[in-house]
Amino acid sequence: MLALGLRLIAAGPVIVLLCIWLVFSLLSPYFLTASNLTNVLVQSSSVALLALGALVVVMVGSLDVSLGSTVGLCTIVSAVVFRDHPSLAWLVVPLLLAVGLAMGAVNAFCIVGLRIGNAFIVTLGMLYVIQSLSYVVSGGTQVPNVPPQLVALANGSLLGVPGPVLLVLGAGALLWFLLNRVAWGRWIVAIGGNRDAAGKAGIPVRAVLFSVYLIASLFAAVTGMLVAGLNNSGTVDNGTSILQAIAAVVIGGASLTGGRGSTWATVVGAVILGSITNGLTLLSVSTNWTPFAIGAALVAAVGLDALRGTVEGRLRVRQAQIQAGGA
Amino acid sequence: MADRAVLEVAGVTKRFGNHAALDAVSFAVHEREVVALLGDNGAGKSTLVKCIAGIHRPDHGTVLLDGAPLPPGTSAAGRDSGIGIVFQDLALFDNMSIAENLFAGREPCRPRFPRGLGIVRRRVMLDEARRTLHRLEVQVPNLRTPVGLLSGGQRQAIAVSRGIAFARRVVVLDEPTAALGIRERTNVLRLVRQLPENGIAVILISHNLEEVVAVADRAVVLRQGRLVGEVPARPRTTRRWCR
Repeated sequence: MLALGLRLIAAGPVIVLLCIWLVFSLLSPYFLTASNLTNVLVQSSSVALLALGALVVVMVGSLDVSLGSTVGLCTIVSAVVFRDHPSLAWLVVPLLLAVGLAMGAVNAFCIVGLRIGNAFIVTLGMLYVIQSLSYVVSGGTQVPNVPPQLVALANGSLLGVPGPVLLVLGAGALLWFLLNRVAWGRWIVAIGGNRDAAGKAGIPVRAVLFSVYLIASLFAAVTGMLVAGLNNSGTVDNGTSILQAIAAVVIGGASLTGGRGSTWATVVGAVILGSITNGLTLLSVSTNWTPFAIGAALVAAVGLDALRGTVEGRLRVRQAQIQAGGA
Repeated sequence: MADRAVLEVAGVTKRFGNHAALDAVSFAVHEREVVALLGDNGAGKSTLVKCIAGIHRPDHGTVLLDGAPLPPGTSAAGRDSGIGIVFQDLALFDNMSIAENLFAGREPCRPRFPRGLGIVRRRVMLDEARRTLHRLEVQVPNLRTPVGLLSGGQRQAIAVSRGIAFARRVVVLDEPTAALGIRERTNVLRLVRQLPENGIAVILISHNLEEVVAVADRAVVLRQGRLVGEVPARPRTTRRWCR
């Protein structure tokens, strides 16, 4: 019974998603159709990918708010390279990965290397710097057309599964493996739990933190590829995508103080946001209300998370007492 | 007691700004010896522990293990050389399981990639954690239980177990019995007494003079960052430590 309770708590975001789907399917006959749910998943994919990157940083108890700007810069670089040098379209993927790595390296160098104060402030500064670079490179306008491989990635499918969904599943699996199976990933979790203790345990804290910003920016670069392909254009990010990504991370049950978070729950968090947006659109609710609903969902998620923490703690203590009694 | 020094603190000075937390501190710990490190709050005991652990880099002086200087500024090097530390704040990860806490930073991995890049052998880790705690007679409910849900005594037992389980040469215990009940304290002191029998030297920091007398061979007294005395740990000498 206790184990079942703990499992239900762990599956909290999935249960919330199913409830949202149930409500929207009762309100709109079009919501629970295969084509619409595919739409929801595709529309959620960019937020999910970016949220996975944001999750890595959140896991160490930090925030990188510049990731959205990196997405925008990558879309613009892909479009500009394709516009000015179409023959170099094959170079776009490694180039965007390099751009992502470079932005992550600057963040990591400032936060970990130079130890310039708070990570939030540093990455907020980088948000503006990268946004400005995007305006400079694009000339301040949307740049149409990106390399065909990015369009194929975003609009193609394999065995009926859309490319963006496959990309999220692949990236999610990779991140899950890193965080749960590889020692480096366990060190990320350890640093988020107790940074001071991690240093005392001989974990190379600075190297791990450095890598965290690089990994997050790589995820932002891949998100940039996806967004460029979905829109077939390069657009400066207005700063809201990272807020949605962080919302997805929180709705997925991650702790902003670090040490706790789930890869798949984060993806589910992004799908919850996508479902709310999609459901409200189907119900012809004014788009002005969409941010309201997302904000309410975020606040509700934080409240539920606090409740979850209390209940889970009690259940685990009870479970431990039972096991101790049986030992 | 053998004569060979296992750990030597040679003229270690550590300053924080204008304040000298340690001022040319020198002493040695010999094989199978239990040395108590005594002093008031602010005497420099925990700073010295951090210098031995490799967390603090001494401004002057060196820490030698078996005659060879330990590379300063990295706790992994000291640990890999056989030094086990039990920190005063326990240095546990509340969000991780008992087994993961025991192996934090030294997870059994496969294949033997460069450090940190291997895949954690979870089954091996659980089995070894179970064996280790059994050997040390530490009772915990379930190795997968997050440490944050354990009682104060259990947390302390996990921290002590982690410090001494993998040590081969020296164990440093910084207030290992603080906040423990009588039964748990007795258990920790039993573990401390066993260490010299296994050829391991011990540095014990404690405010409790009774337990120092019970387990230590010798006491080293620090005051305001300076070493002010070394005396045998016998009941009749405790008054001298306080002076």
